Amino acid sequence: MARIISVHSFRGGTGKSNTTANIATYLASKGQRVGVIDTDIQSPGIHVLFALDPSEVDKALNDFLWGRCRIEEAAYDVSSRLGAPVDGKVFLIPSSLRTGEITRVLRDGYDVSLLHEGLQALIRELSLDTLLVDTHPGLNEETLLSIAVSDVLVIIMRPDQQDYQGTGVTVEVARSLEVPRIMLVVNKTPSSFDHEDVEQRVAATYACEVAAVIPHSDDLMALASAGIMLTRFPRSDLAALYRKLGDRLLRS
Amino acid sequence: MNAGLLHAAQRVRAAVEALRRRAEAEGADSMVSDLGKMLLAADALHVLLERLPERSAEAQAPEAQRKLRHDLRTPVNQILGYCELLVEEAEDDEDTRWDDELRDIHEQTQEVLAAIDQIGVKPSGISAEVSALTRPPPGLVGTVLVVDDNHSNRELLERRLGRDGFSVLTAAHGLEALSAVRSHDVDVVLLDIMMPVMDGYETLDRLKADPELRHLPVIMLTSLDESESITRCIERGAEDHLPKPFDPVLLRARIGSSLERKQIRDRERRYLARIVAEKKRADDLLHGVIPIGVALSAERDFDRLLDRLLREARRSCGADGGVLFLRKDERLERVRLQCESISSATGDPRLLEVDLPSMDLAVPSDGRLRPSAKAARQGVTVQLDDLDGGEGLDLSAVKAFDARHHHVTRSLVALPLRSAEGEVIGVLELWNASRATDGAAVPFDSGMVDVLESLSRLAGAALESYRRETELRRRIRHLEIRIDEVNRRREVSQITETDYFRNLRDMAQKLRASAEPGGEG
Repeated sequence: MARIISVHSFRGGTGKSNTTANIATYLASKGQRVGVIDTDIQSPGIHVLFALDPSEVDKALNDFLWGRCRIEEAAYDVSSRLGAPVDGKVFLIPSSLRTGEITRVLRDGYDVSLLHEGLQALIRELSLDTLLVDTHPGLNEETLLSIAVSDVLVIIMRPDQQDYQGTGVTVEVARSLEVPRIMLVVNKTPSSFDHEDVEQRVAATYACEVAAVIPHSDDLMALASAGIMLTRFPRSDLAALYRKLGDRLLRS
Repeated sequence: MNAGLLHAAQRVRAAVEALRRRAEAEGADSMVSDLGKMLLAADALHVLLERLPERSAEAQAPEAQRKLRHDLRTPVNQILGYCELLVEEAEDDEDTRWDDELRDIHEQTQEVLAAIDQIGVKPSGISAEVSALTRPPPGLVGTVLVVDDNHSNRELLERRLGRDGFSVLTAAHGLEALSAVRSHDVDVVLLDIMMPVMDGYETLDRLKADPELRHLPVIMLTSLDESESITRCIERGAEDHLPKPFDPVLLRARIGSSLERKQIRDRERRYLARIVAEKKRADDLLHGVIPIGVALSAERDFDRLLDRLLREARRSCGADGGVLFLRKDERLERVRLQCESISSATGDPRLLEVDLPSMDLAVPSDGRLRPSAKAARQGVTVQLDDLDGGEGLDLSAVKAFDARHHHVTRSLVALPLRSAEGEVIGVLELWNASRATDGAAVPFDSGMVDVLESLSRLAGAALESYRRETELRRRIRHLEIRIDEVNRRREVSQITETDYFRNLRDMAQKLRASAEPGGEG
């Protein structure tokens, strides 16, 4: 039974794409066939982590949403670009990187229900075990749809006041949509914070499982943005935290 | 030759005798006394000449002849010395009555001296080639120690040098000289060579062997004008030599140049001492204070930080006790109190903990602040070398503390501790410093205060950084996840109370129902 895992954050810049790419890689390393769909049509970015050059992108999610192609035609096998060989597969469905396409989405919008069909088709056509949805920050219609159809919602938050409020709204909305499992990941946590304490307080505040508390490090962030941490620096603390997060997702 | 010498000496004596009688007749009392001494010297010379040894082989030995010349010259030099003094004094008084007689006596005595030099080896021909120096340059006066076993020689030199403005000390032999230079501030030593008890060579050796005294210039008084003796003394560290009889110009010139060199050397030594002291201060800061500052910054336990801060500050100046205050609004709260003497006397350091409650920083009506309150309010170091001083300060708390603990606070220093922004965040107060070398109680000196001020700056930074980190940790500990419930509910309802959301929820429900075992599809 394939699962849809949406990775969401209330604000941008929380490390959502990075977390998604590392989860995908971990699940693929465990033999899963994993799809990663970048629904952040307005500001796509996850392709960089999978070393997919814009010039290689012929069809994108945008083309599917406007009826120009089937969704599986916009899927790219990036399994060989993860930095280390994996037993499974990772397919990336990028959003278009062409500015004209991005502007058109902002101006005309699209039929959100098509996205739902696309997700189902992807699972079916690519025989996926897991479909990871890298969502657009905030709670617009396509994000709500992604959340609604998810089996697991991973909410990435930073330990600051703006995220506390937004995460509260997201959690409440997800509950209202009866998402079976909601997990919080506290990312970019200052090293001076007591991580265990942070985990307990966040869990208590949202009555929600905290899957990982990831420390902030400028050096690590610089390294991480250039590729997938898990395969590039498998012995780092950060890689260990991503593995822990992946194991939690596998158990659910 | 002896007969000629005896005759010449008799002529000198006769001339002196004649002049004395005339001086008596004319009531020149001050001259009569000196002429009397000249007569005594002439008599002594006469006795020596009458007893001159035969031309035996023994008497011909160079050492014997040197000794003979020395003995003969002593009275001759005295006659010459007094004669020159009388000439100068007469010139000062513009009294020309005695000029001829004094000049005759001087010339005749010089002839006697020349004849003495003809005995045995020839003199080395040391001459008095000096500039027309008549008085030492301004500022070049000081204390001269005259070391000679001959009383008349000492007195002669004392009077001559006194006329030139020098302070004069005298010693009859080397041992007395060593004692004098250790107990007086002597600038130049005039040292005779042949003396009883301790001769000039040994005295010179001892002076040069003593690190405290080796810089003292020594001018050898060489009635033995052989180059060998002079060389021997110069090699042993003598600054210069003066042949007897003394030429007054040469005497002043040599003393003047020795003094000048000594003053330059003294200045160099003072500079050097200052450089050494400055270097020590820099080293103290570098090797003492900075590691403490680093250690304080690294201390993660606040109680240990406070203990250590006070302990290290006390150690840097050997302070018996101290208090560390932290500022809280308009009060100084005492957070640490240590006092070595009270703790060891009572055996219970906790006794101190009940003392010194927090301190109000408001200025009292009489304007008298406690030392630490002044340091906190004005951001200045307050230093009291003597607790009976301290005008304008309120010392009642210190005195009450002393009375309670049978303690005596003698000196005190209070230093402000500042944050990086310059705000006074606390005060370090220490009392009763002690000297590192022997533990003697001393007031806080400028070196100690320098070190303490540097230490205070580092301590202020360490405290401030700890306070900030603690505040951060406190915030994290209470990770204030503030959620505005009203807003949250409003935002949630704006999303959920739409047709789109309701449709979405229905769709999701159907989807999940169909996915469950036994569900639709």
